Amino acid sequence: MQFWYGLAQLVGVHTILGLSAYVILQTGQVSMAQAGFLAIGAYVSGMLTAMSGWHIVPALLVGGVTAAVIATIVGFPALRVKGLMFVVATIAFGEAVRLFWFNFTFQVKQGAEMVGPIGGEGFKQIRYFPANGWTDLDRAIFILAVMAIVMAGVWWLDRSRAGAVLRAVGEDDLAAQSVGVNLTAIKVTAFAISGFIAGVGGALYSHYTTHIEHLNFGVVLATFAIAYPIVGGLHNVFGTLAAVIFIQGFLVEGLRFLGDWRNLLFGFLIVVAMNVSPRGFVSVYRELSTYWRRRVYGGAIFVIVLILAGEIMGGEIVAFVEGLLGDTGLEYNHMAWVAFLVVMAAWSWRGLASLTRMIPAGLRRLAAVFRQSLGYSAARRPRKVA
Amino acid sequence: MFGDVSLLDLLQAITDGLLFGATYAIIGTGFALIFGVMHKINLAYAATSIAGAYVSLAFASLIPLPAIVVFLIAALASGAVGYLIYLTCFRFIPSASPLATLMATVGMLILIDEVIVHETNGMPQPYPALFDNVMIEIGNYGLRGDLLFIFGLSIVATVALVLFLYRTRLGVATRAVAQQPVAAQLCGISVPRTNGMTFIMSGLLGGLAGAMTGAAVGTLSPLLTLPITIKGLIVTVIGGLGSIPGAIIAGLLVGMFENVALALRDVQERDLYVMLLLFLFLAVRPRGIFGKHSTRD
Repeated sequence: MQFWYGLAQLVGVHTILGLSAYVILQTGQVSMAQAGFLAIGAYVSGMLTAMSGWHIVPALLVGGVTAAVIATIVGFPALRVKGLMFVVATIAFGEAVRLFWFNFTFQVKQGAEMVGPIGGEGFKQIRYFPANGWTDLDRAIFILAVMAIVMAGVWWLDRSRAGAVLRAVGEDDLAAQSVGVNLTAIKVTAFAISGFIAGVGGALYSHYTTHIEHLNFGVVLATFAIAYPIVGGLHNVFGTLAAVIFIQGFLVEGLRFLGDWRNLLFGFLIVVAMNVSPRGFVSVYRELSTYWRRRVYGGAIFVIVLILAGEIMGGEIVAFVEGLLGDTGLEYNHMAWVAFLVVMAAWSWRGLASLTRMIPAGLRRLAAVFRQSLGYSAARRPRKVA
Repeated sequence: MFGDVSLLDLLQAITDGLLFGATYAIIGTGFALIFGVMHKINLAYAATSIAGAYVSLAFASLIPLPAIVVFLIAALASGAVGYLIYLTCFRFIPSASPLATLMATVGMLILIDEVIVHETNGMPQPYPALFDNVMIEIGNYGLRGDLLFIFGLSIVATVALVLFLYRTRLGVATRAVAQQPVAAQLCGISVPRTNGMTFIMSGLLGGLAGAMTGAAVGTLSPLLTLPITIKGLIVTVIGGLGSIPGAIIAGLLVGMFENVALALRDVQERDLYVMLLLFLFLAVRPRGIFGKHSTRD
């Protein structure tokens, strides 16, 4: 069960990170600064709990507010530019934050040991959870609860008038400006909100890993942050959650048994996903018929039941399945993912039958696209008349 | 604050930085070329150039080759990878989804990096340099031969690019597509083909830059891609989006600035000052050195 609690914490933190990028993406700006805000929240709240002995909830909020304040300060010069310029400006900001922590050393003596971040070695003593006797389950519930609050907040923002203004700026900023929207105020506010959310996420992150260093907050994490909402789609917040579960749960954790090949597959799958569904998972889900939606729901519930059964039955089922698998290097949890795909496909004969129709149709479509790219007409040849 | 750095050391740092900045200038030019034509970012560009350098290294390890041939192989291989990136990340993704293109190039960046790690087991590889034992010395002041060669090569590459853009039919087509894709299409120019050619051209430049970086640093490592991507993007922004002369000047400027910061402070803080330089530009002159005022089409 430990694995699943750990995964739940990971998904919670990364969903918050993704939602922070989601807010600023609504205004049409790609921000690579989210890892920087995460770092600010992580270090500040870690210093508050480990060095000043604060409770985690105020530390969480102060971490978020600090990141929001810095986002506001940086937002004014950075949001003078947009598009690629903004991407580069935020990459530079994120790297500057990372390098700041790389050069930052501040320690206090607590009992026999020195506590605090040491430049390149990082910050090792964020032991709030173990020191206060929180179990893995407590942590998972706490992190998921914070995630739910953040998600509800962003969902509400989406539905409110403010969300409409954000999307208006994202669709066409000049048109929004001409109906009286103050672009700078809206963009900086969105940036500050996203900074706050990322700061809170960072606070959770540092307490969940207990050890942070500057290398955790590089460009790669910033890319992940924007990848979640883009892969999930900007229609609603649930897309981001689905993308986090897909990327962290399936691509990163689920494919661990592939070893070295996993990382290769990772980049490849992102490219494929973007070619197949440029507007994100949610748009694909919306195009599904009710029939296939039921399959997705049913498959997900089936997997959860399978996992819970494996965990609750005291390992007997797990031992049985892993005995069947032998020494292939596969584990019970991997089989849960495989089962998800199998269940989705083979729920009924009709499902299987439609799959056999879908694959050739997809191949034909792909071939048409390639023919078109080579300059031939995709139009069908006229049928022979007998 | 500046320690004991003499004027001569400072002059030395500035020259070395200017010479090494040539690689940044070339990378920035490649970014500017793609942005000028497609109005999109190719984040896999630096990975393309490093990939080309690795392919040339693979050839060099099979048969002994003179360094200049190795450089040419790097350029050609990068051109091929550049076209592959055009096909996978730009060709089939609708132009109305710029975010999907951006993500796809990130995916290619990760994929290329991981292929390199997979093939070399993550070990840095030594890269052959030209004239690395030549040193032009004037008293205590010296010019590194390999850096001078890199500088010369990048001048040749830039001149070749300008000749291509302004003296050939394909160059005219490229500029036409950059200016007005629809009008270019109406004149009978194939937009996908021209875009593909742009990616090949920028790939050739990138391969050269990758080989130059490898030669100047002495080793090739997949860890090089991210810093080069970031520096290249910074150079593009400081120079002005889509401006080739801007990218060249900004590349030399960033190289020089970085080396001076390295001489005055230490290596941990070097990149911090480059980021600050970018922020200074954003605050004072957001459109960069040669950028146009943003207009609405």
